[in-house]
Amino acid sequence: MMRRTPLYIVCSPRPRVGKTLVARLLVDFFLLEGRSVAAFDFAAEEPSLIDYLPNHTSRADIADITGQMALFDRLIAGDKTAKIVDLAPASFEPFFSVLRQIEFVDGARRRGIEPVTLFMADPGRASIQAYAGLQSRVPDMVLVPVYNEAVAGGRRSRAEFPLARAVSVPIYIPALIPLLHRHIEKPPFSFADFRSTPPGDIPLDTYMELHRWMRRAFVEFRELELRLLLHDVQDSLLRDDTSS
Amino acid sequence: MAKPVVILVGADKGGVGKTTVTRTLLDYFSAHSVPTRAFDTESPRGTLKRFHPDVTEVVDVTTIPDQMKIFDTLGNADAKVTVIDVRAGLLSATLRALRDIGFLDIVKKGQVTFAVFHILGPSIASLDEIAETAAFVGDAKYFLVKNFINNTSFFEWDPATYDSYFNKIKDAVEINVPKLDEMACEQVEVASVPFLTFVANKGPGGAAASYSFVLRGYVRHWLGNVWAEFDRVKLKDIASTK
Repeated sequence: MMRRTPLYIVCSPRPRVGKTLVARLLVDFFLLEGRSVAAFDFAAEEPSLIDYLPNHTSRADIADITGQMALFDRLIAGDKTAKIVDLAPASFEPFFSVLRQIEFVDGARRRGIEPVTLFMADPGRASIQAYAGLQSRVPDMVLVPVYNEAVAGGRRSRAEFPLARAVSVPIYIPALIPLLHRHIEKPPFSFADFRSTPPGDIPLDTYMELHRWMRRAFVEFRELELRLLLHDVQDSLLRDDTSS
Repeated sequence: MAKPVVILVGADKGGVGKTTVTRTLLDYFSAHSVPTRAFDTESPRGTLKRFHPDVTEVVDVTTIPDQMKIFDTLGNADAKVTVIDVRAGLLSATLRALRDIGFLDIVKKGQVTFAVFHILGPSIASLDEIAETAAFVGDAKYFLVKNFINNTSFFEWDPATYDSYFNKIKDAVEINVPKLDEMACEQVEVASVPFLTFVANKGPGGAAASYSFVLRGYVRHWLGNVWAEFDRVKLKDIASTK
């Protein structure tokens, strides 16, 4: 069985819930695993994903069909490259509307790509409604809630983000101690580079703390990847059973 | 013997999308495995033939030999459905010719099923065409097609005026062809293949192609909407030769 190429869409209809942080972590997660990765940045405000990881990120804009082709045709290319989309709130509706109209999820699966939407959960009404809307509008897509501990009340609202399938187990991003923010918020910044070549001016305990935080986040991603793999194996066994 | 079906697609005005609608019809019948042949009356060079060369013949519908080629073969052609893409300006003339050769009489007797797809443009002239056509389509299935493919807005029409024209023809049915993204439309034109072939990512002759997934998605979505209109007016039942 061939391993599916990952495509993660990190999104929320609301700003400042940690989308770009998750997208950055994901890019670096794949880089540290030695896998090729391409990221797409919708954000209009700086600093955005492209500022942090300029070598791996392209700007995306789907306001017209040329931009839609530039993005979606690249996302569906069978190049074995993991893709990360950092979707800005303003592009949330148009993105999923196009995705649905062109039957992207089905087309991607047929090419061995598994689109997974990582939805930044927060207790705001707009988020709860958007999550429910996605579940009903794109029911065949894997939708995973992400609880960013730095967003107050996120985890408390778990009941508002019901899981549609076993593979959609939520992801938890631990809160980063305030002292570490200044180290990771100034672009460009790569967690992968930071881990392999720590800057000389950082105290050892700070470095270790950041290291632990990254590891916890990466374990969450690795577990999600394993759940997706298991889901694929189960699917293929089921197919074999029905065909025999 | 199976009852022949003749579908005339036309308008007296040019540039309203007759050939586009004809292409969607040929794709629809092909997808439903209805054997169909087509005549392209844009003689000598037909646009329809470029997209559907296997089933299309270019004819000059104003000449008797070509009229014979179409109508004398209705009963013995393999394809029982005949679609005629009438050149701009020739709809009324063609209907008149059909009356003169007695075709409308055999339609009246129920020996042939006859449907007219009248493609409307946004101008008032299109409404006058309806009145002119009405005289000939009493026994036909008459479809008034508003073609929005090029984002046409039917702004010149006062709804009351349209209704008064529309109601002149008993059992006339309206069909709306939705807008298709300009670039998607253009790419299918460049590819010179049926819409269905474009969606399947194939080139002329069935060779593998590399069209944009996005454009194919838009074409598939649009074609699905057009076919939903055909389903709504029960086109499959009309084309059924039983």
